[in-house]
Amino acid sequence: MNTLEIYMLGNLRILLNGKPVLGKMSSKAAALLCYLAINRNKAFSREKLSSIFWESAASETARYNLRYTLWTLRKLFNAEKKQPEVILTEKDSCFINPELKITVDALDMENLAISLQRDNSIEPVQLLETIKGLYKGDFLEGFYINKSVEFNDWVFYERERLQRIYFEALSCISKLHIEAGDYRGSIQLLNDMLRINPLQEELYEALIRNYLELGDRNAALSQYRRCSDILREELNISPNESIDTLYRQIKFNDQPVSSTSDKKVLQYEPSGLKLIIYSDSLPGESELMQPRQDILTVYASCLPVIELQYGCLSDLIRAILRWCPQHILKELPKCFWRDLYRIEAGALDFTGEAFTVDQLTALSEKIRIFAALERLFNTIAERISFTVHIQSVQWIDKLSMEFFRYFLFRNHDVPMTVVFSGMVQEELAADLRQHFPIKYNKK
Amino acid sequence: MKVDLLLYNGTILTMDERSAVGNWVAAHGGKIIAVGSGGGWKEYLGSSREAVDLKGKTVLPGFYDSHVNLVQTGLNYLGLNLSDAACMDDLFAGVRHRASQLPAGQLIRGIAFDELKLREKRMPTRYELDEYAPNHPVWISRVDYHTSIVNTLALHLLNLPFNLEGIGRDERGLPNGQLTGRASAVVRSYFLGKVSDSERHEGVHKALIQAVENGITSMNAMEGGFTFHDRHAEFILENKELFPIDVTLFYQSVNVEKVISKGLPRIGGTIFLDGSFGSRTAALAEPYTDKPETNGSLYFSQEELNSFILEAHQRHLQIALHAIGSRAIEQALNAYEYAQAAVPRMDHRHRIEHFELPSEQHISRAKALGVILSVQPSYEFYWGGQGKMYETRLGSVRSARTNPLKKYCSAGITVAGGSDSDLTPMKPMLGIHSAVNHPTPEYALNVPEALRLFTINGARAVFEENLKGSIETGKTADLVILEDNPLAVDPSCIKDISVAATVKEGTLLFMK
Repeated sequence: MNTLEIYMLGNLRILLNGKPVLGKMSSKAAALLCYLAINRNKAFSREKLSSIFWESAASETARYNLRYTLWTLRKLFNAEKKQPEVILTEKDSCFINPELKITVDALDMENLAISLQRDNSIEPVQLLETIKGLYKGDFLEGFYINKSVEFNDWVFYERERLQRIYFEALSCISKLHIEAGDYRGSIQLLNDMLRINPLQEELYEALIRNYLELGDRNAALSQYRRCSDILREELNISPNESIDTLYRQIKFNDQPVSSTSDKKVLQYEPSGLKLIIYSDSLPGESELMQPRQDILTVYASCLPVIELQYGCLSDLIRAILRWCPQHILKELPKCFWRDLYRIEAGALDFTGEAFTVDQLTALSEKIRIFAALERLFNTIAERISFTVHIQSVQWIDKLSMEFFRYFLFRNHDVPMTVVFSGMVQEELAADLRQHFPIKYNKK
Repeated sequence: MKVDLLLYNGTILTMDERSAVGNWVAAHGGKIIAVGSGGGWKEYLGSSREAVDLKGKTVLPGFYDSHVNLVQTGLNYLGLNLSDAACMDDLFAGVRHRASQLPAGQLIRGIAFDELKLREKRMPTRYELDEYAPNHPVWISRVDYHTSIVNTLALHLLNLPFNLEGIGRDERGLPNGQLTGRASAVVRSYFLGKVSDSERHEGVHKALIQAVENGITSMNAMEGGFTFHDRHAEFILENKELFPIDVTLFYQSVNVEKVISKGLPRIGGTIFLDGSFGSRTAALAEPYTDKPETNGSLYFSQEELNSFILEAHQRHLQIALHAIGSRAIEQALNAYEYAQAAVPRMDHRHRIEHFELPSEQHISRAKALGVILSVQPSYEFYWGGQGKMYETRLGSVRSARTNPLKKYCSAGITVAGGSDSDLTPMKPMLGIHSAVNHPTPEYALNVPEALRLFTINGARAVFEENLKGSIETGKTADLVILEDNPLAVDPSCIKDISVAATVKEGTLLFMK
């Protein structure tokens, strides 16, 4: 028995028993076959088909043309005799033989989309991938019949409908990839969607977010540029506000902003000292970048014992002593190390003596510690890229917090980053903002 | 002494710094070798290859048109001009006629269509266009370039994505062939990209003949980018050495790297900071008089523009921006000031094109910055004055403030003149006339000022004042011969002075 395969997604291909036969038929014959194949469960009157494909001809001529075209198709499909007819013709109607084994990619794709909606037991990723695989291009791409308005309208309609199904499938798989943490998979699909409509801004935004999830800030920024370039060239417009806001966050924070958690940057400063406040916890130290020779990120975790004054600062100094290159630490004069030794014993290595002999009031001592730690931060920031990250800031002790107010207020221009994360209450954020006012005008 | 060309017995308005007037000029090897008054020409008469007795005619430096959309102008000569269509039948007859002339499959490009001029006050559908051109893709561009109408074959070729904004649809949800916004921009870009270089050659050739017949020997071609097409710019770049007159390319892009990689010293031209008064998209401080719900649009944020201008400025490019309404002018000046503050440059000659509705402060800031204003005086001829477009859109108070040319010149700003063809014709004499006969008398220029716009100032606007723009020994022998002296005729008749001949590098390119 004959097998017929009709591939209408992309450039039209018609295979009879695995062999291409499109070149052996006229455009009208191919169009007629496609039309009947897509509507394979319907019977069409000869009058209807004549008017669709030969609309400008007189009705008698049109009917003759239809008869002739059907005859040529029958000849082609029955080259080897005793094969069942592909197109059955009755007195006044024509339809595809329901007994025939026929593959139509567009119908397969549509059926898969219907199954996806109706049957919850089906594994969606695999099914969606199949839909994606079937879509080799737009419906009857490059196929046009002159003076057949109804047929051409039908092509437009089907083309848009199938393109929508494909687009929705890509969108679904992309989301599933994101849920599974496969951001690269999602990126590939978003690029596929952009090939259909390169002016769709939401897709660029999704791409940027995916690259951020991968920690690839440069790629995220480059997607922004790609978006802004095409919009400027094609439409002379700027990217929408949502993408623009995202871009500013990336550009000015120098930090990836995750789209899948509640981490948000509440405040930032584009030059000099950057202050970043996250309203959720960030990954732990081990998950973030480990210190290198040219980059130092130190962490201090606040504990729920807020009575322990200087606890956070002590932690911080300990981390600095552990990770900061020794030659930088040695640049800090001993007198400052002596003051830091008051809250962190590890500073002993740099003080040259075990005990402080001065008798200071608590206030004087606080001033000396603050000044010493400020000097230490400045010394490190002058040499390498320096980030101080205070975690679980909701538990920060009073004097440590006071130090940060003091430091932020006095050191706007120091090229370093201070990050606070944890359950940041608005009062705390407002308190920090008050001591670290933004110095430039936001748009 | 041998000379290629001698023009004598006329009035030579040299446009040099002293505004000297002579009665003869001699050219050899493409350069002016002598200019004088009196009988000095006689010593060249016997040895000149070509000698023209001017018989009292007037000679000026060859004209500059400082703002021309050259390829678009040329393509319009080839397109189906629908500006005179008064009803649907006119439109259909035009399409049918064009279809009968072109081989099947070739694009029919309708231009300057305005449905408001039609008796039916509507746009055609694709089915109607199919009827008259079933075998040709048809693309009709509305006069404002923002709307396109296509037939079914064109729609098929375009293969627009289903989710593209601006696809007009009928009651069945099918595309009706009318495309606006993003869809129209895509259509425009697609079909302009399909224009062949031979069509560009043919169109540009026609446009350049027009230019030469109107005395133009140098022009600034604003090409590429939004509304136009980058291929236009590339075409100019590849062919400018072959053109009969000098064509200076302004590549309309914000991609600094791309422009520099092509070895160009300038960027921009029609980089739209806003739209136009005609389409009510020029960015005004106050709403439009005839549409109070809008005051136009800015297409860049200040931050974006600053960033682009600074980059181009730092890379030593000359920059030209399109700014018509006061908000756009403000934005352009802000951006130039920002760049100058960051990286001061002595002689940048950045330009603002059009500069139609500035404030007093804008004028002083432009002067302080050293910005060149590239203006189109014939806008006032077509749209200025009582009952015309400026007044309709802006009301009587604001329309009396448009294009204050005298203020620019009095402030000491270099003002260059252009046509903005295809918007107004490439006719410098009309531009000069319009500047002298400004509908607001206090903004009118005197004739010498107006002549400078299209000669020496045009040269200065592209760093060519040492080569061209005045009739002086050693400069390129680009000249225009006029039937009458604009300094002598009744100012209201300047536009009627015809061009008798055009000389490019000492060669008579055109002679009536």
